[in-house]
Amino acid sequence: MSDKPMTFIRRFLAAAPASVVASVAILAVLAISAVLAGQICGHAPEAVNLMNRLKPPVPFSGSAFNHLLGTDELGRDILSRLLHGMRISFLIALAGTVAGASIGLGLGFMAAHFRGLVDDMVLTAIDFNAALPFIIMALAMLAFFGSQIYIIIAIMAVYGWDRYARLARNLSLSALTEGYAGALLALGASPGRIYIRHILPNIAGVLIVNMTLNFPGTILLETSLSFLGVGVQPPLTSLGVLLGFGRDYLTTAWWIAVAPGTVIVMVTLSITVLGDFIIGSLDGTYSFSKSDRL
Amino acid sequence: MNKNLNEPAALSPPWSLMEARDINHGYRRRRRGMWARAGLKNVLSHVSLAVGQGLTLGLVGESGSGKSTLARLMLGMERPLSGKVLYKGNPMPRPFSGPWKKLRSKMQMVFQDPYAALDKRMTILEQAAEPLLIHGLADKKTALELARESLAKVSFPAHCLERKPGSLSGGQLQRAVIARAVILKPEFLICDEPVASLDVSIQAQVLILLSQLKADLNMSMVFVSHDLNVVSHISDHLAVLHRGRLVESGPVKQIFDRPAHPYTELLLSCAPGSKKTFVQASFSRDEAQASGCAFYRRCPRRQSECRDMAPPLSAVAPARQAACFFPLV
Repeated sequence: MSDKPMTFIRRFLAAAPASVVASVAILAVLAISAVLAGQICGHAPEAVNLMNRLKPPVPFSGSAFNHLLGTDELGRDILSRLLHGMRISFLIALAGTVAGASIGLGLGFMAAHFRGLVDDMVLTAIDFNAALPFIIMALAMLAFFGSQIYIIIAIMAVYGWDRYARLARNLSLSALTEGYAGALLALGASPGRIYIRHILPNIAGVLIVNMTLNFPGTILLETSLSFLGVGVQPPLTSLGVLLGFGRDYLTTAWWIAVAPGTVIVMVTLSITVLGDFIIGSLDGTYSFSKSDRL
Repeated sequence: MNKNLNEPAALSPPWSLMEARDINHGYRRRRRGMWARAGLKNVLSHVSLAVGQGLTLGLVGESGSGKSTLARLMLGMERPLSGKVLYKGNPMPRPFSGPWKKLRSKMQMVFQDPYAALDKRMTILEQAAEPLLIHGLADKKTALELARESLAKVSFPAHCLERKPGSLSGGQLQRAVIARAVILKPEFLICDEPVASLDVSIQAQVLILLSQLKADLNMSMVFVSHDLNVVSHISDHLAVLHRGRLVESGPVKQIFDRPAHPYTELLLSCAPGSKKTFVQASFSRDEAQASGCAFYRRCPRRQSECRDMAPPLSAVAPARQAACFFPLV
């Protein structure tokens, strides 16, 4: 299907319900506008204009067309701040998800390959991770190490790795004990070949589904941390930072909080709808009841 | 251990390619958590047998009797807890070591479930070529060419070569698995219930294919099955396992005509189309001792000594052994 993208798109449009098509469209628009943030709006996100404070968004009285979504308490353009905030939020969520998936995959494969003590240690770490009150640990880590972007990304990775590890371990074990991977083992294939060339493509579907489940959670976690003031720090901005500042003006200038709030809802909802669709269209062997079995 | 257990004389082949000597094996019971103590589940005890050059050994027994474990040990996928596996007289190298990897090209396996044994995301042709690539015996292009030949040899339909396993039937998939197993021209092939998951109409075709290949490539084979009819078609010798012990071994024909061990007789009477009947003893209430015969509770010929002592495997006729105090021959 990769050699004919147009047929793939046509097939997707034919098979997917309207909600899924809408989700994909929303995600595409948001992603493109986040990437092109600098080109789309003329205002710099941190350009202060005190004469222009607390302008409402466009259809409301007192609005101006050069500030489509209005301005905040310092007269900064909300659309511009929103687009740059989305950029940071998406970057953190994406990098965190990828890092978490890599850590989880590595540990899961190691557990399945070496079994014994390594397996026990990985499983214990997974249980430990699942039992942590995560937001408190994240707060402690950020308080300790400061709120640099890479620390936040690391926290996002720690947030998600356990599910990837469990999936990778269980699916590899079943492939090794009764499936194609066991057959390859008997053929004398090297572990690298078995895990990278055979197991990884076979479990990729499940992992992608898990990513779509994990990604909204990661965005929400980042916004929570930034909302609490320990996440992304000004002058950088993120959806959570915007939401946090908007809280003080909820009664007088609701649009400051509503703009990032709407984006958060749209992104998480769209990705979840898309993920549900992917689960449904994967073949039956990857049903979640099976993959979640320990 | 008992001296006569160590001599696999029963299968007296010209010379044996694969030999198992006094194998004991077991698995750790699944531990509950990291700190719990592991128990040991015994799977095989004192099993000795040999596979003659160019011959086929049928390995039968009920489920859980240790057939597949024995197959894995002979393939060298695991080391037995005690005892030796000898290939051409040399001990089996440690699993996944260098010499072990070299041996892979000499011995291959055909699996019970062809649906599971193949990668769902690769075409049949690529998968059949993989052994060559794994062992670095050919470049990609030659490997695919050889795979084409190998698949043609097992009568895999030529127009399905580029398909993935999902759109093929069980019989076709098993042919692909066999093609992958024989592409390296192995000397020793283990078939672990190769037809158990196939339709009866397909079973015969696959069995015929296997015996043809065996003759063409001059392979020795171990054929694991719970189905005696299947085994009788393809094997020269038979070894019957019961609860991890070898209870009878010898040439197929003789065993089929006159089984020596009551358990073999039971198996034969269970085979579809059999005219023999086997009257199973009512379950005895007095438990056999751990040291006693494992078949004690079901055996119609049991005597008091069977309860206290396990009968050793001993000769009952030329080239035949049975582990029974009161053999039927």
